[in-house]
Order: sequence, then C-alpha cells, then structure tokens
Amino acid sequence: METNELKNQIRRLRFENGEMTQQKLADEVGVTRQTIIAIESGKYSPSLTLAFKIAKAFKVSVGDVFQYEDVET
Amino acid sequence: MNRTQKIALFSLVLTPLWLAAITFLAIEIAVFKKMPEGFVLRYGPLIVLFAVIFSFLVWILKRQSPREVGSDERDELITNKAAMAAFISTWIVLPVISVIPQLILGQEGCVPAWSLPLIIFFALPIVIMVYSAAILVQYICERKNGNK
Repeated sequence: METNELKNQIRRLRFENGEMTQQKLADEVGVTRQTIIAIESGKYSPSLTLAFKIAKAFKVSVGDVFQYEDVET
Repeated sequence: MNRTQKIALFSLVLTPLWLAAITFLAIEIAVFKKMPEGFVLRYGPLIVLFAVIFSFLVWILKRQSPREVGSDERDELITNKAAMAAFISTWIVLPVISVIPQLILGQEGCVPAWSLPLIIFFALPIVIMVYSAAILVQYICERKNGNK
C-alpha cells in the first residue's frame, strides 16, 4: 500500500538560523508554539499559507522546508 | 499548553461545579421548598466559583511571549470538530434529560413550570463538557490532520 508523508526541515533550519527558538518562529509566522512542535514532529500538516510563511521566515523556498514523499508500507 | 487547551480544561473543571450547584438548588427548591439558609450554604459556592474563575483567568491570560497568538489554524480545525461533537451531543442530551421527569413521575405525572428551564441548565453544562473534552482528546490523540 502506498501512503504519503510530508517531511520537513524546520528543526535543521531553526538551528541554521542562529538556533531560533520554536516560540520565536511561532511569533514570526503567527501561530502557537504547540503548532510549530506539531509540524516539526510531523503530527500536523500545515496549510499552504502557513507553509509559505514558515519558508519566508527562513528565507528559503517551500520546497526547502517541506518535502512530499510516497512511502511504501 | 496553548490558550484553547487551557480554556477547554477550564470549562471541563468549571461545568461540573455548575452542574453540582444547579442540582443543589433544584433539590433545595423542589424538595425543601426554600432557598438555602445560612451564609456558607447560600454564598459559599458562589465565592468558590469566583475564586476558581479568577485563578483560571490568570493562568489562561499568562503569555509566554508578548507576540504570542491565542489560537491558529490548527486550533480552529480542532474547535470546529469539537463544535460538531457538541452539536450532535445536544440532540442526544436534550431528549434524554426531557425523559427523566417522565421516568420519575410516571406517564401521568406533572412537573412545575419552573422546572422546564432547569432542563436547559442541566443540558448546557453537559454539552459544554462534551465540547471541552472533544478539544482535549483531539490534542492528546493528535494525528496527521492538516488541511487536505
């Protein structure tokens, strides 16, 4: 069976951007810290708007933050 | 814990107190035909209620950062699902509560007119509890539930 999974590089990007805290990123994109935690751990797939805001906060493209992968199970 | 979770937890703690107070009042009025006597019985529950509300408000309004937002798209998804659960529960709770007097008093029994608003006052906290519990359960059992 084929399922899809949204991988993200938020944790790595935060550390590459001066060890940005989850709270600081949350404040920049206008969400709660819990939502950043949920996205980072793959428990929540953000809306397209939020995905763009996160990419903008890191000054990279959406593709650099999120990767869509087909997974065989 | 974000503000939506705190408010849900607050409601979940407060509504049983509300339910207990309504039950106490209903028993006093229906069985003893009078309002509770004495300062502690009459005003004690009210003082406790205000103390609980005040302490929770302090906890809810406390922010981790000045720019912290109260709720976001994920919270909105969760509260929308909880609202649906509460709506469905209304259609279960109201008929069930409406049948209780019939079960107690029998088919030909009579209920005083003042008891009818009590049905709403009993049903409302139960629906609020369902709403709050649905919010907390969704945060606990979080799955991949983003906008598809």
